[in-house]
Amino acid sequence: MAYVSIPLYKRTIPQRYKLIGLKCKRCGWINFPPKGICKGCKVSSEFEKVKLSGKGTIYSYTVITAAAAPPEFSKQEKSGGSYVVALIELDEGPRIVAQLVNCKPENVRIGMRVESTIRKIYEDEGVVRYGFKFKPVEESLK
Amino acid sequence: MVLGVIDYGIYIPRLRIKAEEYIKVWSRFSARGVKEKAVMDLDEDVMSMALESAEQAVEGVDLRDVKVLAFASTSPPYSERLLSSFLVEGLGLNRNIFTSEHISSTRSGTEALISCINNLKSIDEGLGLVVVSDSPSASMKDNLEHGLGASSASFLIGFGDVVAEFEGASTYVAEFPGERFRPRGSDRIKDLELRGYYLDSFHENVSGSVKLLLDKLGRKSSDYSYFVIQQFNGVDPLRVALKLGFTINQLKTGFLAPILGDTGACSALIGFLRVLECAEPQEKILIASYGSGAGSDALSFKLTRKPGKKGKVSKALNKREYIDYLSYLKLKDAII
Ligand SMILES: [Zn+2]
Repeated sequence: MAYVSIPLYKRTIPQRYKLIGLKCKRCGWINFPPKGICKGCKVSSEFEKVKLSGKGTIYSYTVITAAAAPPEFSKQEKSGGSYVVALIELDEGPRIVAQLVNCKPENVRIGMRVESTIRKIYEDEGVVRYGFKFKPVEESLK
Repeated sequence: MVLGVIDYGIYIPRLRIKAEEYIKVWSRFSARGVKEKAVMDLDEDVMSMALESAEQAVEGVDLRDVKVLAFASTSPPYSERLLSSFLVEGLGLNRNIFTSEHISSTRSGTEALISCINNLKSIDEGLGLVVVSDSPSASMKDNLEHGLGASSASFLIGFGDVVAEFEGASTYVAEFPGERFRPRGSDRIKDLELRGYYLDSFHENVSGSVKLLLDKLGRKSSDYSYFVIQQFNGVDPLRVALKLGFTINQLKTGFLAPILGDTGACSALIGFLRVLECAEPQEKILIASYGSGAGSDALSFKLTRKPGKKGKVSKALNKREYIDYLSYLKLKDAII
Protein backbone atom coordinates (compact mmCIF):
# COMPACT_ATOMS: atom_id res chain seq x y z
CA MET A 1 0.00 0.00 0.00
CA ALA A 2 2.16 2.83 -1.23
CA TYR A 3 1.24 6.49 -1.22
CA VAL A 4 -1.84 7.17 -3.30
CA SER A 5 -3.63 10.41 -4.10
CA ILE A 6 -6.70 11.30 -2.02
CA PRO A 7 -9.19 10.89 -4.92
CA LEU A 8 -7.77 7.44 -5.70
CA TYR A 9 -7.80 6.54 -2.01
CA LYS A 10 -11.44 7.67 -1.77
CA ARG A 11 -12.41 5.39 -4.69
CA THR A 12 -10.81 2.39 -2.99
CA ILE A 13 -12.31 3.03 0.47
CA PRO A 14 -14.86 0.16 0.27
CA GLN A 15 -12.06 -2.37 -0.16
CA ARG A 16 -9.82 -0.68 2.42
CA TYR A 17 -12.35 -0.17 5.23
CA LYS A 18 -14.60 -3.19 4.83
CA LEU A 19 -13.08 -5.66 2.36
CA ILE A 20 -15.61 -5.27 -0.43
CA GLY A 21 -14.69 -7.57 -3.30
CA LEU A 22 -16.22 -8.32 -6.68
CA LYS A 23 -17.83 -11.67 -7.38
CA CYS A 24 -17.78 -12.67 -11.04
CA LYS A 25 -21.28 -13.21 -12.42
CA ARG A 26 -19.93 -15.69 -14.97
CA CYS A 27 -17.60 -18.00 -13.00
CA GLY A 28 -18.21 -17.01 -9.37
CA TRP A 29 -14.58 -16.09 -8.68
CA ILE A 30 -14.14 -13.54 -5.91
CA ASN A 31 -11.85 -10.76 -7.07
CA PHE A 32 -10.03 -8.92 -4.31
CA PRO A 33 -8.79 -6.30 -4.60
CA PRO A 34 -11.45 -5.53 -7.24
CA LYS A 35 -10.29 -5.81 -10.86
CA GLY A 36 -11.62 -4.75 -14.26
CA ILE A 37 -11.49 -8.24 -15.75
CA CYS A 38 -12.17 -11.34 -13.64
CA LYS A 39 -9.04 -13.14 -12.50
CA GLY A 40 -10.89 -16.47 -12.55
CA CYS A 41 -12.27 -16.73 -16.09
CA LYS A 42 -10.18 -13.89 -17.56
CA VAL A 43 -13.10 -12.72 -19.72
CA SER A 44 -16.00 -11.45 -17.64
CA SER A 45 -16.31 -7.89 -16.40
CA GLU A 46 -19.74 -8.41 -14.84
CA PHE A 47 -19.56 -8.44 -11.07
CA GLU A 48 -21.59 -8.12 -7.93
CA LYS A 49 -20.19 -6.55 -4.75
CA VAL A 50 -19.61 -8.90 -1.83
CA LYS A 51 -18.30 -8.22 1.67
CA LEU A 52 -15.55 -10.65 2.54
CA SER A 53 -15.47 -12.26 5.98
CA GLY A 54 -11.97 -10.99 6.75
CA LYS A 55 -10.96 -14.49 7.83
CA GLY A 56 -8.10 -16.34 6.24
CA THR A 57 -4.96 -18.42 6.59
CA ILE A 58 -1.30 -17.48 6.33
CA TYR A 59 0.04 -18.89 3.07
CA SER A 60 3.52 -17.49 3.43
CA TYR A 61 5.18 -14.58 5.16
CA THR A 62 8.28 -12.49 5.43
CA VAL A 63 9.81 -10.45 8.21
CA ILE A 64 10.54 -6.88 7.22
CA THR A 65 13.47 -5.30 9.01
CA ALA A 66 14.20 -1.62 9.36
CA ALA A 67 16.29 -1.23 6.21
CA ALA A 68 13.73 -2.81 3.90
CA ALA A 69 10.66 -0.92 5.14
CA PRO A 70 8.80 1.15 2.56
CA PRO A 71 8.62 4.89 3.34
CA GLU A 72 5.04 4.93 4.66
CA PHE A 73 6.09 2.63 7.48
CA SER A 74 9.07 4.75 8.50
CA LYS A 75 7.47 5.72 11.79
CA GLN A 76 6.86 2.10 12.63
CA GLU A 77 10.36 1.22 11.54
CA LYS A 78 11.91 3.94 13.70
CA SER A 79 9.96 2.82 16.69
CA GLY A 80 11.75 -0.43 16.68
CA GLY A 81 12.63 -3.46 14.75
CA SER A 82 10.88 -5.78 12.44
CA TYR A 83 7.33 -6.65 11.53
CA VAL A 84 5.59 -9.33 9.54
CA VAL A 85 4.07 -9.04 6.09
CA ALA A 86 2.08 -12.10 5.07
CA LEU A 87 0.50 -13.56 1.98
CA ILE A 88 -2.94 -14.46 3.26
CA GLU A 89 -5.38 -16.80 1.60
CA LEU A 90 -8.82 -15.45 2.39
CA ASP A 91 -11.56 -17.99 3.08
CA GLU A 92 -13.32 -16.76 -0.07
CA GLY A 93 -10.28 -17.66 -2.19
CA PRO A 94 -8.23 -14.57 -3.03
CA ARG A 95 -4.67 -14.27 -1.79
CA ILE A 96 -3.61 -10.84 -0.58
CA VAL A 97 -0.53 -9.29 0.94
CA ALA A 98 -1.03 -7.54 4.25
CA GLN A 99 0.76 -6.68 7.44
CA LEU A 100 0.33 -8.97 10.43
CA VAL A 101 -0.16 -7.33 13.85
CA ASN A 102 -0.48 -8.53 17.47
CA CYS A 103 2.06 -11.24 16.74
CA LYS A 104 5.82 -11.44 17.20
CA PRO A 105 7.75 -12.61 14.12
CA GLU A 106 8.92 -15.76 15.92
CA ASN A 107 5.33 -16.82 16.60
CA VAL A 108 4.08 -16.67 13.01
CA ARG A 109 3.30 -20.02 11.38
CA ILE A 110 2.20 -20.95 7.88
CA GLY A 111 -1.38 -22.16 8.13
CA MET A 112 -2.12 -19.87 11.08
CA ARG A 113 -5.71 -18.56 11.15
CA VAL A 114 -5.97 -14.79 10.93
CA GLU A 115 -8.69 -12.15 10.77
CA SER A 116 -8.74 -8.60 9.47
CA THR A 117 -8.52 -5.52 11.68
CA ILE A 118 -8.83 -1.89 10.70
CA ARG A 119 -5.68 0.15 11.38
CA LYS A 120 -4.08 3.46 10.62
CA ILE A 121 -1.82 2.72 7.67
CA TYR A 122 -0.08 6.08 7.46
CA GLU A 123 -0.67 9.79 7.56
CA ASP A 124 0.11 12.17 4.73
CA GLU A 125 -0.49 15.93 4.58
CA GLY A 126 -2.45 15.67 7.81
CA VAL A 127 -4.86 13.09 6.42
CA VAL A 128 -4.97 9.70 8.12
CA ARG A 129 -5.18 6.75 5.73
CA TYR A 130 -6.87 3.68 7.16
CA GLY A 131 -6.84 0.15 5.87
CA PHE A 132 -6.86 -3.46 6.92
CA LYS A 133 -4.14 -5.48 8.53
CA PHE A 134 -4.48 -8.99 9.89
CA LYS A 135 -4.15 -10.41 13.38
CA PRO A 136 -4.07 -13.99 14.65
CA VAL A 137 -7.49 -15.42 15.52
CA GLU A 138 -7.34 -15.84 19.31
CA GLU A 139 -7.31 -19.64 19.34
CA SER A 140 -4.14 -19.76 17.27
CA LEU A 141 -2.28 -17.60 19.81
CA LYS A 142 -2.21 -20.43 22.32
CA MET B 1 -42.71 -0.55 23.50
CA VAL B 2 -39.63 -1.33 25.59
CA LEU B 3 -36.51 0.45 24.41
CA GLY B 4 -32.96 -0.39 25.41
CA VAL B 5 -29.63 -1.99 24.65
CA ILE B 6 -29.99 -4.83 22.13
CA ASP B 7 -26.33 -5.65 21.66
CA TYR B 8 -22.92 -4.14 22.27
CA GLY B 9 -19.27 -4.19 21.27
CA ILE B 10 -16.01 -3.49 23.03
CA TYR B 11 -12.48 -2.81 21.90
CA ILE B 12 -9.55 -2.47 24.26
CA PRO B 13 -6.11 -2.14 22.72
CA ARG B 14 -4.05 -5.11 23.84
CA LEU B 15 -1.02 -3.12 25.03
CA ARG B 16 -0.78 -2.33 28.75
CA ILE B 17 1.66 -0.36 30.85
CA LYS B 18 1.94 -0.86 34.60
CA ALA B 19 2.23 1.89 37.20
CA GLU B 20 5.65 0.47 38.16
CA GLU B 21 7.01 1.50 34.76
CA TYR B 22 6.21 5.12 35.57
CA ILE B 23 7.70 4.77 39.04
CA LYS B 24 10.99 3.51 37.55
CA VAL B 25 11.26 6.68 35.48
CA TRP B 26 9.51 9.37 37.53
CA SER B 27 9.78 7.85 41.04
CA ARG B 28 6.04 8.27 41.35
CA PHE B 29 2.76 7.51 39.67
CA SER B 30 0.12 10.13 40.07
CA ALA B 31 -3.04 8.24 39.01
CA ARG B 32 -4.41 7.06 42.36
CA GLY B 33 -5.58 3.46 42.36
CA VAL B 34 -4.59 2.74 38.74
CA LYS B 35 -2.41 -0.39 38.59
CA GLU B 36 -2.10 -0.57 34.81
CA LYS B 37 -3.73 0.97 31.78
CA ALA B 38 -4.56 0.22 28.15
CA VAL B 39 -2.46 1.87 25.45
CA MET B 40 -3.05 2.15 21.70
CA ASP B 41 -0.44 0.70 19.35
CA LEU B 42 1.23 2.91 16.72
CA ASP B 43 -1.31 1.99 14.07
CA GLU B 44 -4.40 2.29 16.27
CA ASP B 45 -6.36 5.47 16.80
CA VAL B 46 -9.72 6.54 18.17
CA MET B 47 -11.44 5.88 14.83
CA SER B 48 -9.94 2.43 14.26
CA MET B 49 -10.94 1.39 17.81
CA ALA B 50 -14.41 2.84 17.22
CA LEU B 51 -14.92 0.80 14.05
CA GLU B 52 -13.79 -2.40 15.78
CA SER B 53 -16.24 -2.06 18.67
CA ALA B 54 -19.06 -0.85 16.40
CA GLU B 55 -18.66 -3.89 14.11
CA GLN B 56 -19.29 -6.18 17.07
CA ALA B 57 -22.38 -4.23 18.12
CA VAL B 58 -24.08 -4.50 14.72
CA GLU B 59 -23.01 -8.07 13.99
CA GLY B 60 -25.90 -10.00 12.51
CA VAL B 61 -28.38 -7.12 12.16
CA ASP B 62 -29.80 -5.74 8.94
CA LEU B 63 -27.77 -2.56 8.60
CA ARG B 64 -30.60 -0.85 6.72
CA ASP B 65 -32.50 -0.73 10.02
CA VAL B 66 -29.89 1.50 11.66
CA LYS B 67 -31.44 4.98 11.51
CA VAL B 68 -29.40 6.92 14.06
CA LEU B 69 -25.68 7.02 14.81
CA ALA B 70 -24.16 8.92 17.73
CA PHE B 71 -20.40 9.10 18.08
CA ALA B 72 -18.45 10.34 21.10
CA SER B 73 -14.81 11.00 21.92
CA THR B 74 -12.72 13.71 23.55
CA SER B 75 -9.74 12.88 21.36
CA PRO B 76 -10.72 12.31 17.72
CA PRO B 77 -7.93 12.65 15.13
CA TYR B 78 -9.49 15.80 13.67
CA SER B 79 -10.91 18.94 15.33
CA GLU B 80 -12.97 19.74 12.25
CA ARG B 81 -14.57 17.39 9.74
CA LEU B 82 -17.27 14.77 10.17
CA LEU B 83 -16.15 11.70 12.09
CA SER B 84 -19.32 9.63 11.83
CA SER B 85 -18.86 9.34 8.05
CA PHE B 86 -15.89 7.04 8.68
CA LEU B 87 -18.17 4.73 10.65
CA VAL B 88 -21.03 4.93 8.13
CA GLU B 89 -18.60 3.86 5.40
CA GLY B 90 -16.66 1.33 7.46
CA LEU B 91 -19.80 -0.42 8.69
CA GLY B 92 -21.74 -0.04 5.45
CA LEU B 93 -24.64 1.88 7.05
CA ASN B 94 -27.34 3.71 5.13
CA ARG B 95 -26.19 7.06 3.86
CA ASN B 96 -29.46 8.73 4.83
CA ILE B 97 -28.74 8.13 8.51
CA PHE B 98 -28.91 10.92 11.11
CA THR B 99 -25.55 11.24 12.85
CA SER B 100 -24.44 13.32 15.83
CA GLU B 101 -20.97 13.79 17.26
CA HIS B 102 -20.18 14.56 20.87
CA ILE B 103 -16.61 15.63 21.45
CA SER B 104 -16.12 18.31 24.11
CA SER B 105 -15.81 16.53 27.46
CA THR B 106 -15.59 13.12 29.08
CA ARG B 107 -19.38 13.33 29.57
CA SER B 108 -19.75 12.95 25.79
CA GLY B 109 -20.18 9.16 25.90
CA THR B 110 -23.44 9.34 27.83
CA GLU B 111 -24.46 12.43 25.83
CA ALA B 112 -24.24 10.25 22.72
CA LEU B 113 -26.21 7.46 24.39
CA ILE B 114 -28.99 9.82 25.52
CA SER B 115 -29.05 11.61 22.18
CA CYS B 116 -29.33 8.32 20.29
CA ILE B 117 -32.12 7.08 22.56
CA ASN B 118 -34.09 10.32 22.17
CA ASN B 119 -33.64 10.45 18.42
CA LEU B 120 -34.70 6.85 18.06
CA LYS B 121 -37.77 7.48 20.24
CA SER B 122 -38.78 10.31 17.93
CA ILE B 123 -38.56 8.01 14.88
CA ASP B 124 -40.24 5.22 16.87
CA GLU B 125 -38.76 2.37 14.80
CA GLY B 126 -35.49 0.86 13.72
CA LEU B 127 -32.14 0.77 15.46
CA GLY B 128 -29.70 3.31 16.84
CA LEU B 129 -25.96 2.89 17.20
CA VAL B 130 -23.83 4.61 19.85
CA VAL B 131 -20.07 4.47 19.32
CA VAL B 132 -17.78 5.83 22.00
CA SER B 133 -14.02 5.70 21.61
CA ASP B 134 -11.40 7.60 23.50
CA SER B 135 -7.72 7.95 24.25
CA PRO B 136 -7.11 11.30 25.93
CA SER B 137 -3.55 12.60 25.91
CA ALA B 138 -1.49 15.07 27.91
CA SER B 139 2.12 16.20 28.10
CA MET B 140 4.44 13.43 29.28
CA LYS B 141 5.58 15.82 32.03
CA ASP B 142 2.07 16.37 33.33
CA ASN B 143 0.73 14.43 36.33
CA LEU B 144 -2.55 14.19 34.46
CA GLU B 145 -0.89 12.01 31.83
CA HIS B 146 -0.13 9.08 34.13
CA GLY B 147 -3.66 7.71 34.30
CA LEU B 148 -4.80 8.18 30.69
CA GLY B 149 -5.93 4.96 29.02
CA ALA B 150 -7.78 3.98 25.85
CA SER B 151 -10.83 1.97 24.83
CA SER B 152 -14.02 1.89 22.80
CA ALA B 153 -17.58 0.84 23.67
CA SER B 154 -20.53 0.56 21.29
CA PHE B 155 -24.22 0.01 21.95
CA LEU B 156 -26.95 -1.07 19.60
CA ILE B 157 -30.19 0.53 20.76
CA GLY B 158 -33.60 -0.71 19.73
CA PHE B 159 -37.13 -1.72 20.63
CA GLY B 160 -38.56 -5.03 21.82
CA ASP B 161 -36.30 -7.88 22.88
CA VAL B 162 -33.65 -5.85 24.67
CA VAL B 163 -30.83 -7.01 26.95
CA ALA B 164 -31.20 -3.96 29.19
CA GLU B 165 -34.26 -1.74 29.28
CA PHE B 166 -33.69 2.02 29.41
CA GLU B 167 -35.62 3.46 32.34
CA GLY B 168 -34.68 7.12 32.25
CA ALA B 169 -31.94 9.75 32.38
CA SER B 170 -31.22 13.02 34.16
CA THR B 171 -28.56 15.63 33.68
CA TYR B 172 -26.98 18.19 35.98
CA VAL B 173 -24.72 21.01 34.73
CA ALA B 174 -22.79 23.56 36.80
CA GLU B 175 -20.07 25.96 35.67
CA PHE B 176 -16.63 25.05 37.07
CA PRO B 177 -13.90 26.93 35.15
CA GLY B 178 -10.26 25.91 35.32
CA GLU B 179 -10.81 22.21 35.62
CA ARG B 180 -9.38 19.69 33.11
CA PHE B 181 -9.48 21.37 29.70
CA ARG B 182 -7.83 21.34 26.29
CA PRO B 183 -7.19 24.73 24.68
CA ARG B 184 -8.13 25.24 21.05
CA GLY B 185 -5.44 23.87 18.74
CA SER B 186 -3.85 21.60 21.33
CA ASP B 187 -4.10 17.83 21.59
CA ARG B 188 -3.09 17.78 25.24
CA ILE B 189 -5.42 18.14 28.15
CA LYS B 190 -4.25 20.08 31.19
CA ASP B 191 -5.48 21.29 34.52
CA LEU B 192 -4.46 23.67 37.31
CA GLU B 193 -3.83 20.90 39.86
CA LEU B 194 -6.60 22.04 42.19
CA ARG B 195 -7.59 18.59 43.41
CA GLY B 196 -10.02 19.65 46.13
CA TYR B 197 -11.84 21.96 43.75
CA TYR B 198 -12.14 19.21 41.10
CA LEU B 199 -13.53 16.81 43.68
CA ASP B 200 -16.10 19.42 44.72
CA SER B 201 -17.17 19.73 41.11
CA PHE B 202 -17.28 15.96 40.61
CA HIS B 203 -19.32 15.53 43.78
CA GLU B 204 -21.76 18.35 43.02
CA ASN B 205 -22.43 17.31 39.43
CA VAL B 206 -22.59 13.55 39.93
CA SER B 207 -24.78 13.80 43.02
CA GLY B 208 -26.92 16.34 41.14
CA SER B 209 -27.70 14.03 38.22
CA VAL B 210 -28.06 10.92 40.40
CA LYS B 211 -30.47 12.56 42.88
CA LEU B 212 -32.57 13.99 40.06
CA LEU B 213 -32.88 10.58 38.45
CA LEU B 214 -33.65 8.71 41.67
CA ASP B 215 -36.39 11.27 42.46
CA LYS B 216 -37.79 11.01 38.95
CA LEU B 217 -37.97 7.20 39.12
CA GLY B 218 -39.08 7.12 42.76
CA ARG B 219 -36.06 5.01 43.71
CA LYS B 220 -33.37 4.95 46.33
CA SER B 221 -29.72 4.00 45.88
CA SER B 222 -30.28 0.57 47.43
CA ASP B 223 -32.73 -0.35 44.63
CA TYR B 224 -29.72 -0.72 42.36
CA SER B 225 -27.55 -3.81 42.16
CA TYR B 226 -24.89 -1.88 40.26
CA PHE B 227 -23.64 1.69 40.19
CA VAL B 228 -21.14 2.63 37.48
CA ILE B 229 -19.46 5.99 37.93
CA GLN B 230 -17.02 8.03 35.81
CA GLN B 231 -13.51 6.84 36.65
CA PHE B 232 -10.83 9.51 36.25
CA ASN B 233 -8.69 7.52 38.67
CA GLY B 234 -9.01 4.40 40.79
CA VAL B 235 -9.76 5.96 44.18
CA ASP B 236 -11.55 9.32 44.22
CA PRO B 237 -14.67 8.32 42.25
CA LEU B 238 -15.22 5.42 44.70
CA ARG B 239 -15.00 7.81 47.65
CA VAL B 240 -17.56 10.13 46.10
CA ALA B 241 -19.87 7.20 45.34
CA LEU B 242 -19.60 5.95 48.94
CA LYS B 243 -20.44 9.45 50.18
CA LEU B 244 -23.55 9.34 48.00
CA GLY B 245 -24.65 6.21 49.85
CA PHE B 246 -23.57 3.49 47.43
CA THR B 247 -21.59 0.45 48.57
CA ILE B 248 -18.45 -1.25 47.29
CA ASN B 249 -20.61 -4.22 46.30
CA GLN B 250 -22.63 -2.01 43.97
CA LEU B 251 -19.49 -0.38 42.56
CA LYS B 252 -16.89 -3.09 42.13
CA THR B 253 -18.15 -4.86 38.97
CA GLY B 254 -18.16 -1.74 36.80
CA PHE B 255 -15.06 -0.14 38.25
CA LEU B 256 -12.32 -0.73 35.70
CA ALA B 257 -10.00 2.28 36.12
CA PRO B 258 -7.54 0.14 38.14
CA ILE B 259 -6.88 -2.02 35.06
CA LEU B 260 -7.68 0.32 32.14
CA GLY B 261 -6.86 3.81 33.43
CA ASP B 262 -8.98 6.86 32.68
CA THR B 263 -10.66 6.04 29.38
CA GLY B 264 -12.31 9.47 29.10
CA ALA B 265 -15.65 9.42 27.33
CA CYS B 266 -15.69 5.59 27.56
CA SER B 267 -15.05 5.42 31.28
CA ALA B 268 -18.49 4.74 32.75
CA LEU B 269 -19.69 2.97 29.60
CA ILE B 270 -16.94 0.34 29.59
CA GLY B 271 -17.95 -0.31 33.21
CA PHE B 272 -21.57 -0.59 32.07
CA LEU B 273 -20.55 -3.23 29.48
CA ARG B 274 -18.83 -5.27 32.18
CA VAL B 275 -21.98 -5.07 34.29
CA LEU B 276 -24.15 -6.19 31.36
CA GLU B 277 -22.15 -9.41 31.20
CA CYS B 278 -22.37 -10.06 34.95
CA ALA B 279 -25.87 -8.92 35.91
CA GLU B 280 -28.94 -11.14 36.35
CA PRO B 281 -32.36 -10.42 34.85
CA GLN B 282 -34.38 -7.81 36.83
CA GLU B 283 -31.25 -6.30 38.37
CA LYS B 284 -31.03 -2.52 38.02
CA ILE B 285 -28.01 -0.58 36.85
CA LEU B 286 -27.31 3.10 37.51
CA ILE B 287 -24.69 4.94 35.47
CA ALA B 288 -23.27 8.39 36.20
CA SER B 289 -20.85 10.05 33.82
CA TYR B 290 -18.94 13.23 34.42
CA GLY B 291 -17.34 15.82 32.17
CA SER B 292 -15.11 18.64 33.37
CA GLY B 293 -16.37 22.14 33.14
CA ALA B 294 -18.76 20.55 34.32
CA GLY B 295 -21.74 18.25 34.01
CA SER B 296 -23.01 14.76 34.69
CA ASP B 297 -25.57 12.43 33.12
CA ALA B 298 -27.25 9.69 35.13
CA LEU B 299 -28.96 6.81 33.32
CA SER B 300 -30.97 3.91 34.65
CA PHE B 301 -31.25 0.46 33.04
CA LYS B 302 -32.85 -2.81 34.05
CA LEU B 303 -31.42 -6.11 32.81
CA THR B 304 -34.15 -8.04 31.02
CA ARG B 305 -32.15 -11.01 29.76
CA LYS B 306 -28.61 -12.30 29.57
CA PRO B 307 -26.78 -11.12 26.44
CA GLY B 308 -26.81 -13.72 23.63
CA LYS B 309 -23.11 -13.85 22.88
CA LYS B 310 -21.32 -13.77 26.20
CA GLY B 311 -17.76 -13.09 27.13
CA LYS B 312 -16.86 -10.26 24.73
CA VAL B 313 -15.97 -7.98 27.62
CA SER B 314 -13.86 -10.41 29.63
CA LYS B 315 -12.09 -11.48 26.44
CA ALA B 316 -11.21 -7.87 25.64
CA LEU B 317 -10.04 -7.24 29.20
CA ASN B 318 -7.87 -10.36 29.25
CA LYS B 319 -5.98 -9.81 25.98
CA ARG B 320 -2.87 -8.07 27.28
CA GLU B 321 0.72 -7.47 26.29
CA TYR B 322 2.91 -5.40 28.60
CA ILE B 323 5.26 -2.66 27.45
CA ASP B 324 7.89 -0.61 29.25
CA TYR B 325 7.97 3.17 29.56
CA LEU B 326 10.42 3.62 26.69
CA SER B 327 8.13 1.77 24.30
CA TYR B 328 5.27 3.85 25.66
CA LEU B 329 7.12 7.05 24.79
CA LYS B 330 7.65 5.78 21.26
CA LEU B 331 3.98 4.96 20.89
CA LYS B 332 3.02 8.39 22.15
CA ASP B 333 5.35 9.96 19.59
CA ALA B 334 7.22 11.57 22.48
CA ILE B 335 10.74 10.72 21.31
CA ILE B 336 10.56 10.00 17.61
ZN1 LIG C 1 -15.03 -14.88 -13.81
